[in-house]
Amino acid sequence: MSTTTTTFTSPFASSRVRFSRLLVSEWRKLWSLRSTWWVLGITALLIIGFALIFSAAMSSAMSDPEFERQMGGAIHPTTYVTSGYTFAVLVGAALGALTVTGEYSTGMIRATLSAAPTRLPVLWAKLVVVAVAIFGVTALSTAVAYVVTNPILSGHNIHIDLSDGEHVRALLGVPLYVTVVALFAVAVGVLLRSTPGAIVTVVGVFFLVPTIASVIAMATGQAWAEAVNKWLPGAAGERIITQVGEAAPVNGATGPGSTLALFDAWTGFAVLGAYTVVLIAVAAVVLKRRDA
Amino acid sequence: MIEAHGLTKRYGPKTAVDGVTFTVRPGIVTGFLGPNGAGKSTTMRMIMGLDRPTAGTVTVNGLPYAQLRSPLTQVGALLEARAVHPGRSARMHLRVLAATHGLPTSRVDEVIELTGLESVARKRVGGFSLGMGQRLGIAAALLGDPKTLILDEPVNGLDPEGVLWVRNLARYLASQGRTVFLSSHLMSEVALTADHVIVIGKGRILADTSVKDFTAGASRKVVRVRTPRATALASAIVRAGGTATPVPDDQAVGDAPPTLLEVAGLDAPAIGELALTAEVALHELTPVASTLEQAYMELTADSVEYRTEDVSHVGGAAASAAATPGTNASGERR
Repeated sequence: MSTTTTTFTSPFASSRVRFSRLLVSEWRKLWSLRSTWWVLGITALLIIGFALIFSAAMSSAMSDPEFERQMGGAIHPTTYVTSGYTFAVLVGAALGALTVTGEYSTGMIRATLSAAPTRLPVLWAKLVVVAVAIFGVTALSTAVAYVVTNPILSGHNIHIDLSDGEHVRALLGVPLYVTVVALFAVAVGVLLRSTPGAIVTVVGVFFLVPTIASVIAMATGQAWAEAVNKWLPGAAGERIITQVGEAAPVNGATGPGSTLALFDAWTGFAVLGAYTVVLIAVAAVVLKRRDA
Repeated sequence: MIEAHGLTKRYGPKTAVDGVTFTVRPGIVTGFLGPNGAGKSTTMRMIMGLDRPTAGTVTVNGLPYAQLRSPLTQVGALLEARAVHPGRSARMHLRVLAATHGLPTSRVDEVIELTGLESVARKRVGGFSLGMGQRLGIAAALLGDPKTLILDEPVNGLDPEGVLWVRNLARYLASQGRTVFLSSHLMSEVALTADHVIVIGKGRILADTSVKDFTAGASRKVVRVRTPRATALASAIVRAGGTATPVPDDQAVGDAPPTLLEVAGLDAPAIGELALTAEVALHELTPVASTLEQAYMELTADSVEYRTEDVSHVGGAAASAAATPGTNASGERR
């Protein structure tokens, strides 16, 4: 009952929060959830699976010499390997969103922000951890896709030249593009705090809107529609994967010989990067100010 | 030590916490008592830096929470809603938190043992009962061996053994010189655990006192007397050194003169003797001891968020009906 004058000091009082420690914490958080393994597994499966199916289908079609003569050169060699990115990017983005929205939906965010009350280092740590995981898995998957499709393609004299910078850039484009979109999704997750909301937004921005915009641009031929299409984050960002004169495979409205103006590879990727940086900055401000 | 000055939180037009000022001292258990919706959790979230105060300041061990460099060793908190991802095991949840401060895994295992979670430590939290979830929350609060503990409704969902364990733990932690701030909407729980109590209602501090004083103030003894000659008896009582207060009588008809008195300063036998001498007939003579729970109910009567209508009472004057101890059949009369 009586007030004691003893002051208690924690034996761990000198253990401070550091960024390196938040990285360890976020790394453990990521890998201790089953959803991470599922999402990354599906991402890898999409990249490798699409490459295999696309290569095998084309290979079987090219057993007809007439088809091979017409189509063999129309598709760039790297496209056989990279074709799975359009869907892999959506799954990878889901992981980015989940690292944040999973905490809000469960209340874990309160424990996280109690342990790191300055808040922003938590966001930076999440971005680093998501980037490393996604880049690692997508880079490895692309390498596997290259290795497994190589025997199929070489039979038709289709060769990826790893000494050609443009070829390497397109292959490297898969992990780069998927990683940046996943970081974009982290920021969307902070802003929306809801898993379905964030995933719908990312699918809209990187899948639905570009598909619709490219159709409108092709159909109308209007300069403004073409400009809108060109500046969309998805259309700009995926230029890093595609080759000159060739359009993205899924936004099929732009076939070979298309005249839709698009950015060149690195400029387009930089445009996506700029959108992502701006969105992350907004997310950081909101995270810092908002009640948890 | 927790110090709040003019702490205010408004959500739009609704004021959840309205300029509260209080100090929670180390070495004792301080209860934070109030009905649901009184502002307890909001206050605690502001202490933890999770909610931004609309006005005012609050510091923990001298600093705003966000400025603590080693927050888990300064403050351990169990917040009302579960703050755990159900997909992780209990042990991994604690390891994730420990990692932020570089606390050793041995400390994780210590708090698991301390909270009796050994058998479920490697199971996913999603399958935990409310009681186990609460124990995990307490384990997380204790992880940094903190100087200050903030426990929001810690006994919620615990079985009787768990309730006793939390009580003893809170008192033990305070005896080590820590600051222990524990919220509850149950007066009895606070009376059993805390040394000091801060009562909050509708976002305002209603009382800030030692539990001893609160209890003493609460246990005023009065005697309820019903008589047709209330005025005559009242003057006799005053002459004998007591006080008599007419109280609203729900059995009164129309503008009839008051028949019900609350008498303080004299006990029932003395009043009975007085009535005999004054030749006043008594229709009722009931000693009433107001309990701690009643004192708390009276204190917060105006500030409860949701009130259940007294269905037995038809018509107006519901307040007087609710305040009449005679309607309480729970054996609190003595």
